[in-house]
Amino acid sequence: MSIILSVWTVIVLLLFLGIVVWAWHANNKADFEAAARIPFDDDDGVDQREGNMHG
Amino acid sequence: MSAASTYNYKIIRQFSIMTIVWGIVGMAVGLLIAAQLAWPSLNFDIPWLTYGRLRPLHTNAVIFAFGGCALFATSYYVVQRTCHVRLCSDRLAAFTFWGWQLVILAAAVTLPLGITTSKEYAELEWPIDILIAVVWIAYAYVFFGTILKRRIKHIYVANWFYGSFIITVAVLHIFNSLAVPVSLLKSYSIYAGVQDAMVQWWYGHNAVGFFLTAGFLGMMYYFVPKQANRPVYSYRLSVVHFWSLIFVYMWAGPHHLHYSALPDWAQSLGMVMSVILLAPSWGGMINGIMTLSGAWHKLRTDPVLRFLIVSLSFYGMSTFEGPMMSIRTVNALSHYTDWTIGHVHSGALGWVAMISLGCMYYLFPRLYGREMYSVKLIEVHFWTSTIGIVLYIVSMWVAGIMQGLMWRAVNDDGTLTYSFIETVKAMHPFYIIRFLGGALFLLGVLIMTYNLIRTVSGGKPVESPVPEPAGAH
Repeated sequence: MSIILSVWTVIVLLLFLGIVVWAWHANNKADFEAAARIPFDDDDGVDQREGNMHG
Repeated sequence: MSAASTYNYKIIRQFSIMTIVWGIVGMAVGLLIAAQLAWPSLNFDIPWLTYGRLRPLHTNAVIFAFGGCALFATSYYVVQRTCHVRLCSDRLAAFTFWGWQLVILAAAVTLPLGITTSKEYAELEWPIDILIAVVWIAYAYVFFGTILKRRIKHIYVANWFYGSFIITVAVLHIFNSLAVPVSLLKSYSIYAGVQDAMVQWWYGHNAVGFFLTAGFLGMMYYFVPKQANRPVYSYRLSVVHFWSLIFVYMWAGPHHLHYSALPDWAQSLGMVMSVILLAPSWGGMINGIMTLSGAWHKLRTDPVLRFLIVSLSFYGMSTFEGPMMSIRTVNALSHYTDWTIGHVHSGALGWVAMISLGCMYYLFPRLYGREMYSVKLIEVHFWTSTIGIVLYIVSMWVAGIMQGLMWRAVNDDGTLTYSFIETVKAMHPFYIIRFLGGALFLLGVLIMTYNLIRTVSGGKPVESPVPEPAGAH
């Protein structure tokens, strides 16, 4: 049982490190930047302040 | 316009209005029980008005009614707007609204009557628990069904946080509420002894972690960038933020059971994981605040943005304080004192309520097609609330640490320096300051309500069209 738990802990740790590497991999930079702009892809009406333009 | 080509705003209007209504109710009950601690005769010797029955009503009303409605409203708004589709089922969405209101009404009736399972934050008896589970599964269906039919390939990060909140709360609620009914209004937990305590605080702390954190981080990742009109500081950080929070949070519960019958190794595990939790918490906070990097001047002119950013500052404060209090030796001083109450409210008022109210200021003008009636009053609300929170948490810090020190003080011969009643008496001035802080916070919400009523009464419900698929995306 304790062996399984240890192996599982290592697997989960590697999985997490994999996610970190994936997130910061240069190939994915453009995709993530596009994803960050998703909220600005639609126009939701009211401009609350001057100079506030919806992208 | 046909229903299919517009977003479902009706459900968002319903939940947004009830956010404000339940906010006032929940905070008013909180204010009453705060007053009862300072002036005990305020329970008027009526059983339904006693502290022990009203306190769970307060916590349920502010967490599940106020916070819950804010989460429903914003998650339905964000999932539609970032997926470019209408909710997958208007009927089920309406069912989640009416079902959730029924749960709240049932709580408001049963808790003052003293009908309770006695599990903290899970006091509601088994028939209501079943209703909650059914409503929650319908919520999951509507949310994930909408994501499945999305027209934007990528699932925006706010939806990941909302999604994890919905799944986790379902699991926590169902497993913690497993009970053997003995009558319509009485049941006994299927867990016993220390297992019951462990399941309860696995639930309790993850209710904080997923109901009061992950869901509201979903708000942060949509509404902070929108209000600041610039993309989130680092989308990559948001991905790592999400997964680190998911991997770590589940293990922090045992810090509620330090020095109890829970095995030492489990207490230590809870303590270590709670301290590690500082990293994802601050990663997320920094990501939200740094979204304003290069545009800090907006804070001067935009009180709504100020609500959102100050909520993140309080999030940062309370997620530093939390890991510190989970360390066993610190906990030896803080546990059972008012320090805990101060900590909870720096999170609940400073983080959860401030970001929810900020989001409501964002939503109402868009739901009713009209600018806010008065920006000046938003400004007044901001300062009233902020001063209220500071009075609240500072008085509870002082009270709690004093209480802890008085309880542990011993004379040379080993006897206790103070009797318990002396420590209660010492709390009195701080209970009054806390009451004033709470009153200011509620006053702020009442100012907001006036502002919203004036805004809504001149506007009319907006039917917002779903954008055509963007070829260039």
